[in-house]
Amino acid sequence: MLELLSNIPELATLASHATHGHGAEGAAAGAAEAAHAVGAAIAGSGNKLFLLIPLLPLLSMALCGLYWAFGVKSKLPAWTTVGLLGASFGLTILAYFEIAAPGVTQIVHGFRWIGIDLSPHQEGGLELIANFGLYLDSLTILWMLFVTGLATLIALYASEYMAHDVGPGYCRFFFAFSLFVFAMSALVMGDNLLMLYLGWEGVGLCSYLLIGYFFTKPSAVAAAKKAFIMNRIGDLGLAIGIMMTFVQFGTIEYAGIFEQVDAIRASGGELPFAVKAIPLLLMVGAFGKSAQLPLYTWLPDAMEGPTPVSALIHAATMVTAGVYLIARTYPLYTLNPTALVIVAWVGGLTALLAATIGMAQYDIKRIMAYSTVSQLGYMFLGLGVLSSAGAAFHVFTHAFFKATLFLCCGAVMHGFAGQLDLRKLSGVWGMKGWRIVSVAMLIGCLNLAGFPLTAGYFSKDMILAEAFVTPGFAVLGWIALITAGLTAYYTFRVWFRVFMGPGEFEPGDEHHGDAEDEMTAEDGHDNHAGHGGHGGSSFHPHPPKWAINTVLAILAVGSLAVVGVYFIDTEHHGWVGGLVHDSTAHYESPFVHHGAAAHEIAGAHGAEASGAELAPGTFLGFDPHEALFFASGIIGAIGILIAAFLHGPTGFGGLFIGARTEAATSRADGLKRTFAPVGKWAERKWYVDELYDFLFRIPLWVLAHICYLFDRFIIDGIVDGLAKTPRGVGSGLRPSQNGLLQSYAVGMAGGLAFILLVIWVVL
Amino acid sequence: MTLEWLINPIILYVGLALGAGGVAMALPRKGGGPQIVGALLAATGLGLVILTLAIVAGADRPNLFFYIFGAIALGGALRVISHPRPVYAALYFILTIISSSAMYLLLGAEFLTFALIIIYAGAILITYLFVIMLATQAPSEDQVEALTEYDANSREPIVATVCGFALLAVLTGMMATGAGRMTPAEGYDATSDLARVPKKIERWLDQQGLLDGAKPLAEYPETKPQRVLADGTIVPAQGPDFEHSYFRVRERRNNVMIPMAQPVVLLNYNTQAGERLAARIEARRAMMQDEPRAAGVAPIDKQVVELIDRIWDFGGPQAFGNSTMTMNIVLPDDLRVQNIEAVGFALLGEHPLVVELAGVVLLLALVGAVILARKQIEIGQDEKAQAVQLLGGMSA
Amino acid sequence: MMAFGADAFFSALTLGQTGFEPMAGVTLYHYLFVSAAMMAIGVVGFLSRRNLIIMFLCTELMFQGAALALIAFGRLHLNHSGEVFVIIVLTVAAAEAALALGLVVYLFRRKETLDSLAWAELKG
Repeated sequence: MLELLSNIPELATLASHATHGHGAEGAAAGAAEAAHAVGAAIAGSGNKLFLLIPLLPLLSMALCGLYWAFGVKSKLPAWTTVGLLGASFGLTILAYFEIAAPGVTQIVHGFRWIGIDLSPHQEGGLELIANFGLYLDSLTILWMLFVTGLATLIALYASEYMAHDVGPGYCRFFFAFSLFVFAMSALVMGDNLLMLYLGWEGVGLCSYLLIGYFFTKPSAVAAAKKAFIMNRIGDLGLAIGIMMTFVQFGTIEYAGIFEQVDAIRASGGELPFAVKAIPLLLMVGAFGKSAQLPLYTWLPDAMEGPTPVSALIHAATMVTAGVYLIARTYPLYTLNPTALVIVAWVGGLTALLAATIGMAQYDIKRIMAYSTVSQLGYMFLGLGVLSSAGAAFHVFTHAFFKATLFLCCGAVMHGFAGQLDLRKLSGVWGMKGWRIVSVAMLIGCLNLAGFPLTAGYFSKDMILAEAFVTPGFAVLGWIALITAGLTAYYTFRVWFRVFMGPGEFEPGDEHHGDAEDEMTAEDGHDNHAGHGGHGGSSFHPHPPKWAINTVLAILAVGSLAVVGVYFIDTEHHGWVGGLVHDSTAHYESPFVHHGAAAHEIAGAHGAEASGAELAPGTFLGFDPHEALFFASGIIGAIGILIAAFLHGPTGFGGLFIGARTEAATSRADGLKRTFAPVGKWAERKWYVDELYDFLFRIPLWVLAHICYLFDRFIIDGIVDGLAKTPRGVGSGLRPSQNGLLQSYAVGMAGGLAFILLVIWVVL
Repeated sequence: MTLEWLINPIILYVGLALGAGGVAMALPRKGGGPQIVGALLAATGLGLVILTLAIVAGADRPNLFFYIFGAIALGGALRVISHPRPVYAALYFILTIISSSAMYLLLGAEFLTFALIIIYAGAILITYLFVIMLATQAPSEDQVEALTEYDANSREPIVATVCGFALLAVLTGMMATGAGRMTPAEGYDATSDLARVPKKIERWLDQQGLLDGAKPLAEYPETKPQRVLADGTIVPAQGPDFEHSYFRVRERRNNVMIPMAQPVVLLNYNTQAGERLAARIEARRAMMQDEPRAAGVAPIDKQVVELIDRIWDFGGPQAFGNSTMTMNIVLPDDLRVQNIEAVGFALLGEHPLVVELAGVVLLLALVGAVILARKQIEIGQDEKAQAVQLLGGMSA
Repeated sequence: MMAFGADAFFSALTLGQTGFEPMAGVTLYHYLFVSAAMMAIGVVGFLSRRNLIIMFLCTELMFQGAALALIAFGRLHLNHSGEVFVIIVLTVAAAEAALALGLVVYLFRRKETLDSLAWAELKG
């Protein structure tokens, strides 16, 4: 019945859209509609049930807000959130079977959110329409599957992780957490760019709120501000991109845009620069949100937030919003291949840079953050080399293993009182109660390092192979390959130093605050008593309990199992590839199948684009699709071995090549002394922050002070002058207001005489 | 007048300037000051102005009493503002009031002449004197006769005089240019008031025995006004209201034959009462001619009968309005509406709202006075001390 | 100066003008000047005298000036409306005397002085 009700107005809306196009383009769009797979979707015909996917997190948010207002001091917010997000996840699975599995597209209409008739006196004129509606295709479902699924699991994890803060903070955490999931759902599922923007800003806000969760800590506040401001830079690009989309296409709804893009592609011809600029602008937004060069520096600092937040927002979901944006608007990118080239290069360089920084860090969460930046770089590289399927697959696998890794780091941090320095932790594997964490961490590390036959291995290979296949990108391919080696090295550096070797630790100084004792008494963790602030001697690490362990186990198994999806739909390079193939993000790479549209794309791909037909590139003469399985496997293994040699412990744990016998020292120290400046630079993140400081902060500081002086002396001078003028006049006139009746009467009589005089003279 | 330019702008303003200087000098100030010189100067100045006015006026100037009472009024006024003692000021104000009322008399406003004296001199000024008695005190016990500081000194006399006389100069200048445009009202004579007061004539007719004393004419059953046309047909009369009345006061300008000063009444034959009145006058006239006292009827004023004769002889019944038969009766010269009657009619007939407004104003004043009288003032000790200090500072 | 000749003097003594005859415009001007002068003297007194009671007397002077002008204009226009308005003036003067003098007594009891300069609470 819901469908029946929703059909009638929406058909009218669709009909009106058809006339909203830009003249000939609009007509062409109508003609091309039938040709495109997406064109088969009937707007608003979707199942209204799916509106609950974003709305359930919103309900959860409202409930948590109420708990907050009523001062709930139990774990109720966590269970509410877990329950409602779980329901949302269940609906997403339902949506998968209804939409993604058969490969159809549904547009679900919620309500008319914004409708501005820009030419009200003209029939069928330009109208800005933004519905609260869902654009459901397989790409959306793919994203929503891991967003809601991981959100549910991480909420469960956080229920224990945040337990020390039960009370207002706990409610606040889950309030923002639910809001984040709602915003992310709006971002992913919205059927127009404005709704995407709503979600985009929403996740930015939640990111800010959650990074600054420990708002009494100055570094957390600074990190939150940094994240927010750097995202603003990107969001500016996105906002302008959306505006230009509306200006150029007359609509911001995906369905309308894609129709017109198809029409443009079908008609050919030179495009105006404004249309070509749209992907470039959208890309800026994507770079900001997904922490790519040059806007990546906020992400490592964002690790100031609670670890579940880092895992969900800053590793698995929000940072992939940029990838999603580009994948969603992929048809626009096909109109301007230069944008894709930029995407590819930015991604590749970010991957390398972040990996080199990650090698030299000591904070394990930061290492994971840089690895996230690096892996996101891979995804952008994948998008840039026309492997949207590879990028999406890497997003999917990365979401699992990076969440696993972060949650493991979080468990370690939780257990060792905030200790994250890998020089002060060692041999966690051998400690009692840490086995699940260690195994999960190992699985995550293997995935991240691209160990053969893991999911990360296959997804990374898809991107690497496409980089070599696509002509002109071989350099990027080599960069990505080297990065893969570096990734393996720094990943296992963490593993060998923290989890292997002699069991040593030094507890961190970040105790869980005053709530610790209450919490431990309540939970029966007797061994916690008194560890706060007493140094290492009385400190006992507390291993995670069932919630964290369950989540870690599920995620670890999931990370392993994800590899299976690669073999489900081999025709499209795996299940994810199949999903992408059914969506608008799919673009047939001309270098794989030698499609007819080859030169159109290839034309923009560098100097080799002179020939009419371009042969796909090779990897040292071999077919990249096969050769790279071996190449990347070998590179990964070499990275792991180097890590083991430099950081691995002696004996069996170090595979007989390590030499580390205590937590703080390793063979790498000697190496580091040899290359002291380089190591130092890498540790200081190549001084990028300082560079930005010099390039932007100092000029801005100077400019701000000039403005301040201008404001202080010129603006304020004028304003104060304006204020002082009446004051001066007033103080001059004040003696006339002497309160004496007769002096006022003098004014009256004299004024009367004057008025009469004027009348007499004039008349 | 060839010297108009000298008289109108120059002497006028010189006179005003002199007057202003005199007033400024006459105002009380520390050490007495040249009060008498000031008064003389002011008198000279104002006299110059009045002289100017007299010259400008030419032949058509007011009578001597105007000058006498005007001078007294202005002199009294000057003394009101220049005398340091409030009691004397109030008394001089009474003088001003009395001479003003005399000018009212000159202007023919007899009622207000006496009303002014009664209300102002009799009531308001007594109130003033009471208040002066209540609120005036000598600065110290042993110097009962001494002036208080605020009575002995005026506040910025020059500024005040300049202000006041600037106003006066502008007003005078405007009058000098605008007076020629003010012409007397037209179409009005002494009979106009009579026309507004019909009972007056009726009463006179009754006193002359012309009316049937038992029954006022107004109460005679009135037939509907009719018109007798030339061919003898009678049609209902249509016209102004006076056709309902049996007489109207004839306007002088329409009847050049009748002496100007005497009001004339036209009897309307067309009404029953008019017809009866005319018949009675006719019979009385015949009786007077034949046997004056034969029927024992009260003798009619001989002069009246003469007047009636004269008119009758002159024209007999005349056309009145729309071919109505009329008869003229010349009223005696002293039959006039008195000022008090006219004011009463103007007040009640033309401006009845004034009575209402005056009543409301007085009622509000009553309420306000009651509230003020009920207010018990309790002065705190510090305020009292402050007031004492203030007084001490002033007397010092 | 012929205006003050014997003829004029005696005709004036007969009060020949008490009859309700129209008044020439220039004669009106004489009355108006007296009225304006009375008004001006009242203004001067109000502005310069410091005794509250005398200030109120000066307002009465101004009333008188206005009233004289009203009567003279009524005479010019040969109706009695001017006189009617003077009745209003008298009423207002009476009301004003009642209230204002009440206030004067009130003020005197507040500060034990009639000096208008003592009341300057509105000083800016």
